Amino acid sequence: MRHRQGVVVKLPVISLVLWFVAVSAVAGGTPPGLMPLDGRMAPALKLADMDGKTTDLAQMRGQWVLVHFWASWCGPCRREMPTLQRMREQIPVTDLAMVLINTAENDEEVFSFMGVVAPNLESLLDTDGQVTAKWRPRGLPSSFLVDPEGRLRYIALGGRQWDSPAYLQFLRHLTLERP
Amino acid sequence: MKPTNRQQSRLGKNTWPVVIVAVVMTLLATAMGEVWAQSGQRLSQESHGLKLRIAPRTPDQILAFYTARHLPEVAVKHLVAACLITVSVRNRSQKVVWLEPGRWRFVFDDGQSAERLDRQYWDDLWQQLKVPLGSRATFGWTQLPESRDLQPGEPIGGNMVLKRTDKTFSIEVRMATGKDKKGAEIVLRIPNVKCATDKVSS
Repeated sequence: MRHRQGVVVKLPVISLVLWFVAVSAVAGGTPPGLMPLDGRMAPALKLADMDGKTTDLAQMRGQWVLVHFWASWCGPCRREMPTLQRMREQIPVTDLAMVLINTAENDEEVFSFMGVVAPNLESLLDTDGQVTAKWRPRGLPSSFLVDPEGRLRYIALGGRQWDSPAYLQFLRHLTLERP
Repeated sequence: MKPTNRQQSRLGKNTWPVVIVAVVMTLLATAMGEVWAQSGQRLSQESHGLKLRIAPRTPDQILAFYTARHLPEVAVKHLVAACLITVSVRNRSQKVVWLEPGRWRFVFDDGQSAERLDRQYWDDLWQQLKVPLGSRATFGWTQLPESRDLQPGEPIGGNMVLKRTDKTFSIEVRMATGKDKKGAEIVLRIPNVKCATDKVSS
């Protein structure tokens, strides 16, 4: 009886320690330019792409989501977008979903840009910029990592090289975390 | 006519004090941690781990920049009539630095200040002119934020707008430091700034 009580007491402690070790491993390996956030709930995000197909972030619970804001006129966006496409080729969508949001441009501008810069990616259109404003990015481009519970966990400072070994390794570790 | 050896020697002697003064001044400037540079219409200063660069834009540049971003003509007209300055800051220090252009001063030689046209000014004007929301958002993203923390290593860039003036002024940049803004304040000053004008071809 005493032995069973000991096991009951120890299990949560062991789980807590394992969880802490896992989280610390991810936190310790945060690549430069990625800043942890306080875990507040992500703002609503429901937008359509160029074909009129709607994506709702609320429907994506249960997996990590990279939410990326961009505009065709922004130089760093043009440099960063191909790295997102190459990252997409290496990390399966089942592990990390990706939502691109064009800020305040029309479908012609988005079509021209994506066709040349990242033809394998699709972007949602925030034509009046109001959804972008609610997310309060630090500038353009801007990327957030949203956890499977819909909480904001990281923000990238400016444009990043998402296909670099440090970022790929971080994302692979991160997406092992499950709720 | 080639100089004689004696003339060459005299030239060398006359040059030495100038060289010594130049070297001493360079060393002093470096020791103070401030390196000034002026190249065309770009001015920069590097100090306290911050690199600040500014570039006043000509009316033609403003017109091209905002027309390319599909701002309506009526909006671009107002921007062209103002004094637009592109600013970039890179925080190379190890501490958090606060970008708050509302605390910056634009001081003429007589001590008076140039007027900054902040986001509220433009928001009100766009409202009045019925500028579409998308164009307002695009304009907003091209502006420096009114208040933003700059993390170590983080760069930021954007435009700021002043009321156009012909007078020369200095930009006095004040930045709080630390997560809670309680660290030592950083003050940078860029003198001899002028609103840029288009070159008139003869």
